[in-house]
Amino acid sequence: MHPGLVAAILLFVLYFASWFLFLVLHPTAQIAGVPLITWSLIAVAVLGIIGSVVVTGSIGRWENRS
Amino acid sequence: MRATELVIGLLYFCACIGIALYFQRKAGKHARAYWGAGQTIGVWVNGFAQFSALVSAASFLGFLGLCYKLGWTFTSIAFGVSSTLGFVVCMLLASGPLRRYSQLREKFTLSNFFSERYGDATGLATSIFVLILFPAYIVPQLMGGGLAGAYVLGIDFTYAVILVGVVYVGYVLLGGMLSVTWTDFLQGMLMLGFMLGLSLVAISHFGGLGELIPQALAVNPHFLGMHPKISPWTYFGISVGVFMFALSSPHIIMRLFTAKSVRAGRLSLAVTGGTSLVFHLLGYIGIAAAALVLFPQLENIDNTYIVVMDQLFPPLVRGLAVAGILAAIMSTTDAMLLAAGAEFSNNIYKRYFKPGASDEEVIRVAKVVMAVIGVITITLALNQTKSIGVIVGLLVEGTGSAFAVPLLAGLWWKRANKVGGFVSVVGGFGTFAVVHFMKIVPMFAEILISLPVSLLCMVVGSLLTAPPSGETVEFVEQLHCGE
Repeated sequence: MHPGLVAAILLFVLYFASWFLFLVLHPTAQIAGVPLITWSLIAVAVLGIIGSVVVTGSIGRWENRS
Repeated sequence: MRATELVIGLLYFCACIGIALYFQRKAGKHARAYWGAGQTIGVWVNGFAQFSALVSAASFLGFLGLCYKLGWTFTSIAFGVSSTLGFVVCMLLASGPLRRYSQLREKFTLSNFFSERYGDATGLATSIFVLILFPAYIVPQLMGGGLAGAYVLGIDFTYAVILVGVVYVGYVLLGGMLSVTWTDFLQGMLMLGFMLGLSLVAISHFGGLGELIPQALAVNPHFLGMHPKISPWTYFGISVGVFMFALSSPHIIMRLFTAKSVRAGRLSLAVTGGTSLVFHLLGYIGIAAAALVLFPQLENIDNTYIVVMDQLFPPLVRGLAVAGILAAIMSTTDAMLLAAGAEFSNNIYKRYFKPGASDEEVIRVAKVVMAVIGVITITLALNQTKSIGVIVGLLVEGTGSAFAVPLLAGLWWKRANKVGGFVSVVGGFGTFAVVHFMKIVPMFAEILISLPVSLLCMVVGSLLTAPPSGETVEFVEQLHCGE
């Protein structure tokens, strides 16, 4: 499977799971006064940037192979 | 009149016009050079240019005002995190295939791609939506220009809007994508510098975040948390809307076509995503908190940046900061104008009115269209009364509703066909408009209905009708093959 597609699906899952977990199940959970949904989405965004840079090489190799 | 700020603002305008004139010679005659910047743009320049295209008057004025009023969590989720994720997913799924498409076909707009993938009707619908949405998006930019211009020059808002509008339209007409990309690169750095700079100055002025935040919370107890008067669906909706906008907006997609290689295009989006995250999270917290402490009863929340800057920056730096605001407005306005001009000239004029038109003639027509849009948007900006943040938020969601699903399906689902593409674009945008005007859901939550409708239209429309031709399937496969 295309590495970019795998990474994007993973990000979508983490993004929607964050909303479900911290907006629906635990809407009042906080750390340092900031809701957990905010922390969680920031973590997903940072992970997304780092992950996408890491996976760029694999995408190139996968596309050149196909 | 504020003389120092005025001089710096004028120098800034002159620098932009100078860049446009410099690149005019390179960008005049051929479509690849005018619309695609000759496909020569590297990672950092494109990364900051894309960031500039995203950051607008709304980011400096409207959204910062929303941070002041609704809290830091609202803007962090809505604009910082969501735009970053949109760029990242665009990088992973769309950037490479679209860059290859422009290389293969010498085409430079999203509707070109939709025309080829889904047929002319979808391409035409896309062009029409862009020609509706983008001029509407330029209006709040010019309103922001009017606010900043009125502050610097001490002149009436009306004259400030006209002045800013004329300069912006003029320089886009001169240079095309190459000059727009280079000015946007400089503007991106300017904007990032002055948003973070003012935030850091504000934080240090109050003795650190540990001192500043409790004071801000005393004025607005919901500054860090979820605002109780705002529906959770609004938070979710605006987040999804900005996510989809960053992923699929035609004026950002156009930038992918300018990258010098597929890899450079991808990495530039990582730069854009990272920059956007830092800008919205770190930039907003210090400025909005300082505004709450310094001006607890701010009447026009769109002025949040300006009042804090006025209080904390010396005149020379204030002048540069105003240039930063003007840069934010200019970089979005030029990208939108260019996208709208390209849509009309390439996809309507050349396709339906004069198929044999030369590149030169198409560019000439685009310039006329951009000038007309300039006049219309200046007129509308003079008569607009809504908040900048609200107008931009809605337009962002409309764009995401129309284009995100057809873009991803067109690249990744070979079974997606003409009917699916057309009903997905029209269904997504139409549903967004209906839901918004009927006020069925809370503000900014419209996309939570329109996006699934767009997806449903794509799936049902494609599966109930004949599969795409072998030629189309081969075309899609070609977009995923390396050098």
